Amino acid sequence: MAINTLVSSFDHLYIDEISRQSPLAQRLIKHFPQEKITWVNEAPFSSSKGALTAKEFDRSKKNIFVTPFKGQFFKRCPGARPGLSCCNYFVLNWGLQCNMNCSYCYLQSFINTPTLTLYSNLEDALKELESFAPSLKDQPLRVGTGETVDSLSLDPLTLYSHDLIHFFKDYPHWSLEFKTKSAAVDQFLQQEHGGNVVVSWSINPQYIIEREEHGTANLKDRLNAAEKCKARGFRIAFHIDPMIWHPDWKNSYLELVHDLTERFSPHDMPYISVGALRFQPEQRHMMRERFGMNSLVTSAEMFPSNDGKLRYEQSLRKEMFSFLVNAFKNRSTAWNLFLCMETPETWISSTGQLPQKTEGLTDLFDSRLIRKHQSASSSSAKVQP
Amino acid sequence: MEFVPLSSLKKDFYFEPEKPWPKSLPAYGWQNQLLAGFDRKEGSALILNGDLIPLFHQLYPTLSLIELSQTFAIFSKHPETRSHLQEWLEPYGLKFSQRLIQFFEKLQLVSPKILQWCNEKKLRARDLEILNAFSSLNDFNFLIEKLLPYGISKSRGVQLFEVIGELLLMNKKDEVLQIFTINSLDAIEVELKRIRFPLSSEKLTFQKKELANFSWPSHVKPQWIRKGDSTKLKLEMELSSFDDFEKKLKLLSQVNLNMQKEELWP
Repeated sequence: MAINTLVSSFDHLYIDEISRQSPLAQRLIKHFPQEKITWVNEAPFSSSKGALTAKEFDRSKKNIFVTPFKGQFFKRCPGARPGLSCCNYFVLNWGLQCNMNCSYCYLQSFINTPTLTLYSNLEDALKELESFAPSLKDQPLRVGTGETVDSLSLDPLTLYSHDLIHFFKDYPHWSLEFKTKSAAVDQFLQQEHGGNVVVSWSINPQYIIEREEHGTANLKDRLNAAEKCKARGFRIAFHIDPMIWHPDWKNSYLELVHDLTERFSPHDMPYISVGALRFQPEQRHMMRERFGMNSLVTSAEMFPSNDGKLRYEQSLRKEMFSFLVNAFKNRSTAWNLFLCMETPETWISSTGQLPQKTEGLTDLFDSRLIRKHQSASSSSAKVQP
Repeated sequence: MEFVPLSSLKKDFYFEPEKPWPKSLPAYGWQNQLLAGFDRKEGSALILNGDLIPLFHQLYPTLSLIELSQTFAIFSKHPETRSHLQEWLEPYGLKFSQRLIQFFEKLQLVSPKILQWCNEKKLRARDLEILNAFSSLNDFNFLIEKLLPYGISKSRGVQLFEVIGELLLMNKKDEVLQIFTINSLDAIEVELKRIRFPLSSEKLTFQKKELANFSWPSHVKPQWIRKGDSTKLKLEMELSSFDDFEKKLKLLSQVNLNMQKEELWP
């Protein structure tokens, strides 16, 4: 998406005075017209407190607020729960809210800030990461930046990719993952990187993208962007997540597998993660209010699972995962797929074994890394004043 | 503290409490406002000292959904209270937000019969989130009022309100209306869920039907049930002796194999 188009998709830009001199603020004011910029001393829409209405949530995607973040930037993926087979994924959040509009987005279950917040103090995030270096520098830490904000959809404006790619050059054992549904990669393709940057796309059949992933790049553009990244030596990955049931789902996902495998080989990416539609029960209210019941997501047949989330029936999930795994393996047994946020039972019934026993995935699921991080976190906390 | 004539007090905070103010207590006021004893026509009120909101909480430690809706409409506008809504809401287990305002506005559109039921069952705001999905509640009121005479429990009611609400949003009003020709609440619930969850209902129905094709030992009652995101086979058995148990286990083992052959296990 061209920068002008991106800028025009927002109603307003609010910048905290304290962030005035930040590189982020300075970049943004170059692109936004004056009449769309307001300098503030407190968060805008302050009368809007607590749980948001659907209208307030919609509005929050259209108004950017630049401010420093005072909390902890870096933590374990919050999807990890007891009873699930989880990989060692950590997240670094440099913003909150997304400018795109997927009907199933989990941000609907917890965001209660009335703006799309971008943190102006990325340097503090990098210092936080640095503090783990003494104990974790040689460990295969995987750090993603797409948990509470799309990693790249706003990157043409923020250029945070440059700072992050540069930082990670000094930590060759760590990997940085950009997770996105955009095709915005041109702004960092020329950056020198340490070979440890993974650019990944959440993907779905085009039919699902059109119906449920509003404002995102179409499938072809995402795959094109992946090819560009691959050509520049960036590692790439895909997340077929969430798989969404629809009447012709088998053909749709088969076509997706075909599109992917025609362009890429298993050696191009260490793994593909797969997940089925799931969400916290309270999320259904906001989704229903914002998208009605014509959405495949809101009208989905979902049931409470052991971890509290609403999910498709276990047997349907097993069928969908098995289908997808087989579709890939039929093309090449070298394809490595792993299930995101699933129980050991679903792993075994869909793939035949647990991830810890699956070649190519053992590192991802090595629980020793989590314990090392926990130990490093408490040491780091003692060191800080 | 002093007593003043009721007639001298304003009624800015007037609402309709569900129960009359206890006769053993005086009416109470604060500054020049009546706070309790709104149902009294004459007499006097004891003026209380202190801050309005804590006094209100002491007079009304709990409020029903209808009472909350009425008082919220007053407190959110009155100059004495509109800036202190969070303080006023907290003891009632609520947090101020635009979403809450929106909810109370929706509550005004719910029919009195349904509101009465919600009050009796002590429903909370979060039990009625489905209301927020509607701009008009006419059809919702119409259908839910048909449900109430079946004597539903709170948890079942909350669930069915949501299912019916969703079916309305899916433009299935006529299908839902048809269901209310059935006499049994259990059957109504099954039918509502069949329309809302057609694929999984069909699968469960098939599984249940197929059970009859197997040779179950005597005094063994099999049932397919849904538990969360999976369906499970539930067995009720009556066993009279060690041998009886052994015999039934052997027969069940054979049934298990047959079920597997027929791919009945999920």
